[in-house]
Amino acid sequence: MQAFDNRCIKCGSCQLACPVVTIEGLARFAGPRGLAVEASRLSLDLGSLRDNLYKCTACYRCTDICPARLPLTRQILEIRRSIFAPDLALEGHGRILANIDAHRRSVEPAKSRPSFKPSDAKLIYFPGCIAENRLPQILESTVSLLSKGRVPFRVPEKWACCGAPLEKVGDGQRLRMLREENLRAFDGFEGLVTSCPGCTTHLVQDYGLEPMHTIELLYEVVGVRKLPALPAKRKVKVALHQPCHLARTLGPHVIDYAAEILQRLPGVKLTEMEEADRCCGGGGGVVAGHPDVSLALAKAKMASAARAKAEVVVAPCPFCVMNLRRAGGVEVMDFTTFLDAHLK
Amino acid sequence: MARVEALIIGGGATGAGVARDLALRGIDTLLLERGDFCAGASGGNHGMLHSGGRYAVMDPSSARECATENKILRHLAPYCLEDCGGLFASLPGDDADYPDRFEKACRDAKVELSALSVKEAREVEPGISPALLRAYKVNDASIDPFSLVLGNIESARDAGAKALNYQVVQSFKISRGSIDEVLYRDSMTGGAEKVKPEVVINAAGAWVGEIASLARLRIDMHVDKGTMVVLDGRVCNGLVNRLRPPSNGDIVVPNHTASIVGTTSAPLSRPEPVSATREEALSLLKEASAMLPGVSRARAVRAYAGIRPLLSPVPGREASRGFQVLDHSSKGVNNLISVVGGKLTTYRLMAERAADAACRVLGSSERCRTASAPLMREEEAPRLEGTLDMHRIRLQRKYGPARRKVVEACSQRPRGNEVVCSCEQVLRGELEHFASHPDVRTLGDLTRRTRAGMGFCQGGMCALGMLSALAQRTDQDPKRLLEGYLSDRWKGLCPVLEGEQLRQEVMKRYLLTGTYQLRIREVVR
Amino acid sequence: MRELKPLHVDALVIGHGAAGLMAASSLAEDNNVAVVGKGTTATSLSTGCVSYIRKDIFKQEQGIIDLEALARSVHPFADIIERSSLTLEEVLPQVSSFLFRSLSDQGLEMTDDTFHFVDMLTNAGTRYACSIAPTFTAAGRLDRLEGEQLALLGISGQGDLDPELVAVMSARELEGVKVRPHRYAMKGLKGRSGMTSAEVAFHLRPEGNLEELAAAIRELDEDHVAIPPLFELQRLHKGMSELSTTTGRNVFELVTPMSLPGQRLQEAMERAAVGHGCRLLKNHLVTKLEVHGARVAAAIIQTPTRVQRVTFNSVILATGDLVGGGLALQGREVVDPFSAFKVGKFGEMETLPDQTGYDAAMRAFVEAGYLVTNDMRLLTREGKPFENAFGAGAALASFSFPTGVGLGGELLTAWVAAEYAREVS
Repeated sequence: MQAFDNRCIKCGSCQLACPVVTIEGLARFAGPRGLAVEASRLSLDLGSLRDNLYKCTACYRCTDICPARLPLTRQILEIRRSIFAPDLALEGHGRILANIDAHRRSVEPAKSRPSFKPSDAKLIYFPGCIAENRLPQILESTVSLLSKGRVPFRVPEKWACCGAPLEKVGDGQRLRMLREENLRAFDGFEGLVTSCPGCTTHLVQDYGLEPMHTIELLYEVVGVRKLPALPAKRKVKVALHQPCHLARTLGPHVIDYAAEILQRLPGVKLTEMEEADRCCGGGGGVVAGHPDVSLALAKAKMASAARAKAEVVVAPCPFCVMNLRRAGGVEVMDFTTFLDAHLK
Repeated sequence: MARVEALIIGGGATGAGVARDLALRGIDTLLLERGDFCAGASGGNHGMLHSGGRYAVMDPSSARECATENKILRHLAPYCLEDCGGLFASLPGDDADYPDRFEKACRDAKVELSALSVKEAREVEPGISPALLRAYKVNDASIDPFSLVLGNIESARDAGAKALNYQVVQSFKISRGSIDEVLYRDSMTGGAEKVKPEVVINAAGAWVGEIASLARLRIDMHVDKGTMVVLDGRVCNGLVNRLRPPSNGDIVVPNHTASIVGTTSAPLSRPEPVSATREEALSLLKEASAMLPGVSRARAVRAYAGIRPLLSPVPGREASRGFQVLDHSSKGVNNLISVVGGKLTTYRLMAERAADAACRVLGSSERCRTASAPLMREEEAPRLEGTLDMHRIRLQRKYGPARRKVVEACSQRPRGNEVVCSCEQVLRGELEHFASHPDVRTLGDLTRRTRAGMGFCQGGMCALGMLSALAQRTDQDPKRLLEGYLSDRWKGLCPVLEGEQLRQEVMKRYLLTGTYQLRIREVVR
Repeated sequence: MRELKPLHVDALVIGHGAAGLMAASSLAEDNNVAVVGKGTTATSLSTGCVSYIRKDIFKQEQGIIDLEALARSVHPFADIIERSSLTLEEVLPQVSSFLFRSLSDQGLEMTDDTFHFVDMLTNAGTRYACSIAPTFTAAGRLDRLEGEQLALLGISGQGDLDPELVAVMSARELEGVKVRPHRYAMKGLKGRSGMTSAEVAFHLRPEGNLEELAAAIRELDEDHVAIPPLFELQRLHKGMSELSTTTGRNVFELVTPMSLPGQRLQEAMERAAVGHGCRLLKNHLVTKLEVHGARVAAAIIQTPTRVQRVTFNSVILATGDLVGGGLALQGREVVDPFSAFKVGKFGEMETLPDQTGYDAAMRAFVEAGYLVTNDMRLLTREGKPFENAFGAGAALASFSFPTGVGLGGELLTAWVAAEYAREVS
């Protein structure tokens, strides 16, 4: 495993910022400093970290906040990769591997999946596993918005899961396989847009491409602010959840875009919820590996939304939407679905 | 007045080893150490369990002793060591004849080794210099001297010996050619005591000459300063030695969470207090990074110096690492045994010879048992709740068979499972367990027993937590305890204060001297 | 990496700690200001207190600072303030009142004691003296406790307050005070140990969880109760008021670094800056500064996937010192973050702060105390002052204000830097 340049000055900011430490406590989760800095030096056998290593949601909050700019999250994922063994994988992670092998999707495929007409459009739309199989409204509304914005696109015929879940599980081999298959399937393109921030981030970090998330495309290319909106049927108080992969790994500008777009919609009042940028628990393979931790994080988020008196939580990420809905509380909608419903 | 059969002066490896040896022979024993146990060379060395390779060419009898004792110690105290193996590596510019001489000398001295191809060596040590020319594998191991010495002390106590730290021997009362009375003083409270020993074993390491002079005797020996630098993390899997005539910066030893780079050699005129200098630290790192380039990128945590007691008419690097057990009866004192010279690796043998000599004086025919009796009995440790696997593993690694009471403290005391030192993941239960022991009077004593404060922040973030464990069990001024501890840590930080460690220290200053207004005594150089 | 549209502002402030935010807030009154910053600031690790003046330099009578003596001393601010044509008597009250207004608007009430010292107790049981503190901390001022009874109430499992340790450490400091350690186990936090302040604050978010703590306080005999920091910014006032009024005791927080108080100050200053009209660009890294002769022309700022060019009339470098990541470390070398500046002189060292220079300067700071101050203007590599670039806060590497004792120096220099920048804009 790569040696870790130890620039840590023990300020503890990462431990304070980590949402999993706050929920679980240090007796059950060592935290970013504990795992990435301290345990890496302590444990010759990194496998001894299995009992808590997979609770990290890879939200990157620690990486952002570290004054020494340590790649904390990267290190945790690197440890996962170095100790990966399929027979020792957590049960939920094993299911992901099985789905990848059987269906090239991280989840079980839906009974009916949308199909797309072949096209010679230069822009690829990459739906992602969740939009295709679990939350089809996301896929439908994205397609609808792209056509409202008159943006031609095509969906590659044989696309596979982008591989982001494999990075979180630590399976370097399947990760490479999926990347190679997808690059072949993409087969020449100018522009790439995805519905899922997890896919977007992974396509940047692992594939080295320059995809846009739907929000970026809508804001920068389509100029969605100018699209005609439906008149307001009623006023609705909306809290905007900030998905980790949008706000931190792509960049804060995406959240600014999302907020601006929402604010311009008739009838929509944006309310600020406490720690809107705190992880919902949907990432890092934690939903599959430690579902209790994911649920606790989701509940905390929905409690924040309730305190902000939000009527709808808009979450621009399929994983966030899925996980937050598990916690109950007010309605949770994906951003594109919400937006599409408000435009003519 | 107290009487004892054997009085041992010096609580390093030698003294502790003698205490154990004599106690196992049923001898009534008292050990006095002027600082904390393992203070002298035992507390300031490289942590190497030598294969003997390093001495094979220059000092074959030492090499032979190391090779034999190495095997014995692996059986006796496996929990004190990490069997990571060692490598000897030669680079361009090193004496081209040396490897062959080395190989022959090792075989002659029965030091086990096997030649490796460059490819094989890289598999063993991926971090080795790309310019590697030749390599040999040996069975060096990394040893924890504190564990070893404290283990010997505890074993001696189990067998009935008494051992006291912080007791300074002041004078001998000699009558009719024997040491009749020994006067000693508690270095912290000042309380004076006397004891009447039948035999006195002078195991004071670099200070044997000073102890002998209390009986108006002279010992022919030299003392030599050696400096080491501690790097954070592992830059190598096993020990790495430079395959050339011994020189500076020849060795890197992995030790728990660190890598220890050493060493230097500088003759001293007397065993005065020594500290590592910046020049020494930098030169060590420069030399060592030739064979392990990772050294130059690693974070230097602290530097320390120790004093080697050398038995030799010749000072410095050429001095023998051998040892001698002196009986001073020909010089007019018939119940004083001195142990001169030696190495950590051969401590048990040194102790055996010294104990044999002491038994001759006592008229005891009991035989040594230490070659076959394991240091600690294996005990079942209870389950530890509320902690992670890595904590359980560290407790095992640090305390080995003796961990039962420590684990109990961690699981039964309130807050026992709280991590106090996060660099080393030391739990509060460990600290409270040792803080309750009469031996433990300073925060440094806690550090030596638990490794709290040994990590890369050097106690910055855990000193207060450590103090919390100790403060309620002592009458000493807590602020002075804390400031004394931080000043000690500072002494080791000075020579390597650059890069990341400098930044760490600035952070600590914010907290400790800025916000908390604690005074950290600067070092006069 | 995709480019966002270029941004133009009147003033760019680099660094979002106390100095940067203060300079930005001040400038924003009449300028278009953007603040760029990344990571943790030393401010958020601080005690959240402000102290302008070094206690040990001056003789005090009844804790009042002699301003004339201050100006006559080798104190850094006298130097800086003089050079800027402001006077200390003008600046100190201006800064303080600006600060109080800004912070209290955000729910962080501070004591208004610019020219006095207040002695308080830290969570290590040591004495801490400063001018301005959050009111819920200053309520525990030691002169108020003289002859009284004090309860140290730790929350079981919470890392910030170890009441037995504080009792033991402070015994000699608080001879006239009857101190007793207590511990209370919150029901919802059973089984937790070594809790971070974030864990406890999180637990106290839902209304109603505070009542059991209040009940525990009511059980105590003492009139004064010291607690660890428990509340985030938006709950501070309500939480602490509730504890005091429902228990009838003087409940106060101990001075605690690396915990909620620093984070509260950071958050309050950020919100204040935004309230004054600043554009706050967090999680942005400045990767390059374009220098044309004696002017700094532009900055390139970056997020993980986007890059943007920012042009401005003036720039303030408030990047902090080693702790906040202001001066970057590479192995054993210290380099300034953008490699474009020479930041001041270091005592006798006339040479450019090449790597050894910084290293030696920082080492000198640690080994010997403080260094002589420098002028706040940033200097080109040739040693000439830039026309439009100024330093503020701990980034002034030879800053001689003792660290860890309160952010006054940062705020004062920021105020002056803002004045400089205002002249240029």
